[in-house]
Amino acid sequence: MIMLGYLFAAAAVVWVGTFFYVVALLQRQRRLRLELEDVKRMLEEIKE
Amino acid sequence: MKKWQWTLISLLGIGMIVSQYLDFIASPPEAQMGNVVRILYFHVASAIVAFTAFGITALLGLVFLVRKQWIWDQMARVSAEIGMVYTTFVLISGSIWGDAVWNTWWTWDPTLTTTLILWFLYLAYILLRASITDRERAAKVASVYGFIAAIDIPVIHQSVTWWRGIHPNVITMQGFNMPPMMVYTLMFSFVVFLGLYAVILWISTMMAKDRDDLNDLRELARNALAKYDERVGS
Repeated sequence: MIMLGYLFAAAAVVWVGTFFYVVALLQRQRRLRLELEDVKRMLEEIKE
Repeated sequence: MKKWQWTLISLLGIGMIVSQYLDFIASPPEAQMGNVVRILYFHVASAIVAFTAFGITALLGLVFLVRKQWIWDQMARVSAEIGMVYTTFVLISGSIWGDAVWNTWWTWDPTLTTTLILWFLYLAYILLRASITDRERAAKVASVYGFIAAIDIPVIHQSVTWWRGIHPNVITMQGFNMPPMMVYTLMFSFVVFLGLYAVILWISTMMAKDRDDLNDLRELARNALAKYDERVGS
């Protein structure tokens, strides 16, 4: 039979892991956006 | 991070904590299954979200074929990837539940088998996309394939009635086959899982869009530099 404590702990680990994954995803998206803006700016400078 | 992003993340965090509380503390154990029933809150909720994700992949694939805008293809691709993760979770949680209730990790029950087929179908979708180098061709092929693969979703839903396997039918046309407190817990889990899907879909689509834009710009810069080198050389 499944122990409630282990089940609770496993679910908590999954939730915490997922939460930090979403935070990391947001930060990665922000870095990517900054990189994109940098490249855009660089191209504008080359055009000028 | 911006303020609204913090708000979104906080709401998601609160949803996860409340879901954990409802699943393990507020909802009662089931008369026959005992505490094993708590796995179903994750299992059923993630199954519904997985089907939604693949349904959205099929729908957005069609939208891409009609409107020819990259954003729909990027969103369809990301939705399939998230659906794949949710389906993996469905298969793992179902196995743990099956071991406790049926005394076996796996059985070739029609619902389990068709769900495993769905997992392979979308694994093939991801591999198919990765194997075609031409971006437009990959998007078109994946859109058609995604729509055909989605046929398995109603088959999984109907498999319980068509083939009468041992998989329990929790949600029927008549409603939920469980007490009200369990229904509320399941519905809340579903809302949190769906919210999580929507947040990851949105962030990952933005990332896919930015990555594609970045690649296009790099290509543009490479071509411009090559032209410049040619001009200087001649």
